[in-house]
Amino acid sequence: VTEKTLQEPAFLVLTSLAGRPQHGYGLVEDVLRVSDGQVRLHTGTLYAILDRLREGGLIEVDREEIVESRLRRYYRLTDAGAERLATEAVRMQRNASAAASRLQRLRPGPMLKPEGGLA
Amino acid sequence: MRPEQVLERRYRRLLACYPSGYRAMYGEEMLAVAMAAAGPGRRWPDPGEAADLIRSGIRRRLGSLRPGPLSPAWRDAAAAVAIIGPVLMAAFAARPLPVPAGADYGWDWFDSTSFGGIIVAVLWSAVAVAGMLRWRRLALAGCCVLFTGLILDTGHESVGVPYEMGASWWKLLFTVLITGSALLALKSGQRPFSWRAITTAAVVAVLLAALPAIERATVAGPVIARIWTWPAQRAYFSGENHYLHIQAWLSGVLPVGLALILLVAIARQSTAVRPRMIILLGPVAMALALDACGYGIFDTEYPVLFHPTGLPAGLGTWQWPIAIIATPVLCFVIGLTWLSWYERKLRRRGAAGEPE
Repeated sequence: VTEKTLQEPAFLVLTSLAGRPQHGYGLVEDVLRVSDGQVRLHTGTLYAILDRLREGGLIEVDREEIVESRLRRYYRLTDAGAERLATEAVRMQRNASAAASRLQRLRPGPMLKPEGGLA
Repeated sequence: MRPEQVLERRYRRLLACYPSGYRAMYGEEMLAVAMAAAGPGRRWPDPGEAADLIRSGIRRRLGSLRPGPLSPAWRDAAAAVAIIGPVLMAAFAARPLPVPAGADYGWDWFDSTSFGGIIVAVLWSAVAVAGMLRWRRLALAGCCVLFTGLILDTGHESVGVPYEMGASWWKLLFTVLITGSALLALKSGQRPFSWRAITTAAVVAVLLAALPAIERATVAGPVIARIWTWPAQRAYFSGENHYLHIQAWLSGVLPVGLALILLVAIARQSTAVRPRMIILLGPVAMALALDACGYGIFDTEYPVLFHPTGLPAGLGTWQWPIAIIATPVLCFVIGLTWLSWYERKLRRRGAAGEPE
């Protein structure tokens, strides 16, 4: 996690935690919201990501609560995690700009909209 | 039973796919997330969720057996093995070898150190010196030459004398290990031993190896007329039995002495390097210990004098060699699994802020 490029689900989890500390199910819902319904994390995948991010020192446990006799562990972004997210966001932005500018040269005209239609 | 209870029981069964340590860490939390995602009234887990839990759990189990990315500690451990290993191989190359010499097994069983043995000892010493000078590519090239030579020599010697191959098993394993370590050490910037330490180790190893050769060279004539008479094993001694001295030395004092050198070499490394050196050298130590006890690959057909000749644990003629080969491999896998588990535990403790 610390050396390789972040995968999209890990990036979305960090993005979600950049807003506020979240527990597992909160993350599932927030990632769904942030990704416009495109990424729905299953439990196994979510905890594999959380474990890797935690081992990499990008997130840490914020607090634990018992709600309706079930454990809720809240995670928060560490300073290293915030830095990594910022670096990754800049990298992605740069890549997106490069792609957009080359597409512009390939097909001069209106830019592609995120939904895939023409502006 | 209420639907939630049934669903919870089924999710718990799915969580059994994960290793117990992981379940202890995240199990309850994962269950809470899966139950919340399922919504009320469900009795069966969502198929996508179930498949994801099974896939992640199995991947986790397999992942815990896989060594992590090559850390600098592995490279440094390999660099240490690529130096101390050749020193020990040089000592073994210079020792007198017990090989069958004709029908009468007697004093001639022990070849005095051969010219070929001296050449091999010099080459291994050169590999150790190249490692010390951090000429890693040269050290690797030397290992490859010696490995090829050992394969060719074993193949040549083994024609009609399978005992030779059995006697060379630990040597082959050690050479493979040293060559692999020399390869891993290419990117290591460390020099794991001081010149003084490695010179001391070399002198002690050479003395250990040379003492039987000195005895072989200085004691005149065969003391034992004949050791083996088919079908019974008999020995006819006259006077002092020097044969026993050398056998005891080669099978006991020499391996133990060299093992002590290894232990001192390991103890001089950092905390991260030490367990990795043990994992790398453990299989060879295991093969050498078995060999010293007489459990070589072909010992059942070509028993070495004074060594056990029966088949332990009811293993067959071909099952036993397989067991001899599998033991060091198993030893390596257990070592890797333990290290992976131990370091994961330390990281978790560190992440939770507990004292180590």
